[in-house]
Amino acid sequence: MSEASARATFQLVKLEEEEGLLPQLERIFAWVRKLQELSLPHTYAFYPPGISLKLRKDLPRGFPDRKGLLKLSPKIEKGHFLVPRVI
Amino acid sequence: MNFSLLEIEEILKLQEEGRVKPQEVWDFFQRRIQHWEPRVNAFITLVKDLKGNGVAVGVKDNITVKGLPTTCASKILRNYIAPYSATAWDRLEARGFSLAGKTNLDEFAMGSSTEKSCFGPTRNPWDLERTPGGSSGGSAAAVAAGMVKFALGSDTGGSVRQPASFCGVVGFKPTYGRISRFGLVAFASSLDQIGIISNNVQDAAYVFSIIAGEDPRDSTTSSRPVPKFQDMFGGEGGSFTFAYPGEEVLGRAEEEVRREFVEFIKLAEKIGGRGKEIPMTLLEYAIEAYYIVTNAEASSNLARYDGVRYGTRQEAETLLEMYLRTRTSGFDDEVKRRILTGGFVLSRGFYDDYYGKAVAYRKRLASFMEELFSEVDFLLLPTTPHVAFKIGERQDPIEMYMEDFFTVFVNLAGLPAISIPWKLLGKGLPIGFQIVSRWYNEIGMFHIAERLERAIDFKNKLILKEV
Repeated sequence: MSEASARATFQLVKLEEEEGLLPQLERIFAWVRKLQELSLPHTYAFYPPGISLKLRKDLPRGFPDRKGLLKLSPKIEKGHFLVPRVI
Repeated sequence: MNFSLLEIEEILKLQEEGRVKPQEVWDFFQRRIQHWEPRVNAFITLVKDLKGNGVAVGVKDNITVKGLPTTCASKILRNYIAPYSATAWDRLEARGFSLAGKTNLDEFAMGSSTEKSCFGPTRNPWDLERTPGGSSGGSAAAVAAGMVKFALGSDTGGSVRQPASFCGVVGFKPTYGRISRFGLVAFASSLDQIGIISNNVQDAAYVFSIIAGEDPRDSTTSSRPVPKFQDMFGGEGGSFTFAYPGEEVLGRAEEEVRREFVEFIKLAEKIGGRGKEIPMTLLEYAIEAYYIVTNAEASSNLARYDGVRYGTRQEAETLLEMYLRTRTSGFDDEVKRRILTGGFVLSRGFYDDYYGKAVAYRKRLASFMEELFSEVDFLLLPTTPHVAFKIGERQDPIEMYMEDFFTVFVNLAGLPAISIPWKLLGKGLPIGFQIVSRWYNEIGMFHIAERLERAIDFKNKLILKEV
């Protein structure tokens, strides 16, 4: 990203902050929190565990690079991968 | 001949008998469009040439019609031409109905006033200083002013019923799964339904009988048979039972509306209903749960507008920058707010507290409704807390969300509901009341709504007036 174009993009985002979009969100989060007051014994939301969106800090780090990934791939012979035979 | 005052079936019969030509019908609606459209701004796209039987139909601009723009009133889709038609419109077209145009809405159907459109606000034909409600405000205004015979809208939290109430017309939302969502641009898929706006209950039922039913292109449609229009009305119609909420719910409506609602209850009793008040404290939380669920779904559904898959691309040097520019300039504030809220309630650490709780609430609400409808046939309540508000009057987003207090629980539970006009209140503005029924009982609901409509005898002076 060149400096000029990064600045233009940053301006767009900055404008949103100044126009109050983000502070308004805080109010909305506080407002919907009202639902927490409600007691719902024996009513559960069924969904598989761990499906929430991951925050950036939760993303796994230290992925292997291309070379590392290739090391994990099966061996090649005559242009074909050698894979275990499955019967 | 004033075709706005006739029922669809009557117009078609006149055509069958050769007493009226499609061109005459079409020209009538075109004249009304020429008169009203410059004042109201109900349409985003208008169709000039007649194709079909001349009975003019408005289709909300988040429902696709092949070859025409489908903008969702958003800058990001301003250049999008739909390559296919929605099933609902396909079925109407196959029966010969004529498209008059694509109607205005709040951007991506997110709003309650039709002010948040990149094509400018739609005005309420009853008072041009006021909003027609939303998000199907263009459809409701077009029907109220007689520019079209009926219109399709979409109802995710009341977007058909609320504008119908503000504009003095009938707004119908079917059971979830009754009408195919194929071709309806997704906002919150587990709540979205295509609805019908018309000038009378019979017309809503007539259109419902055409467009409802299983569609292999929408796996959430129900395979249950759709009632035939001929079976929906007629007969004396005996007694019925209904519930209405107490002060915990009605207290959200303005005094004038509450007073009129008491009269509405009395009328329902007069035509054979037996009513009882049932406390519904659970409804107090519906609006918060609704905003969590819908925004969560919207944040996922609107991810496709990225300048690559869909949406007008803003060129940039890198991919990330292109995404940022496209979405930052393509969406307006309300849509951004909802996407960001949706992302937040789905994120790790907040998921169970927000989304999980809202989904659990939704299940509880559905059980409550099941129990309620095992005791009574219908639930009656106001559609809106007050008459139409002025353009620009609601600046606070939370205040705007509260507009849907009486309607959102219906969508959370997937129930069918219809709003019928009651009368003009103090400011000379219409207000509607709602009839909610158990799942798949549209036939019973139409029947009662039609009996009430006859007893109310609401006169839409806008369509009575020749232009």
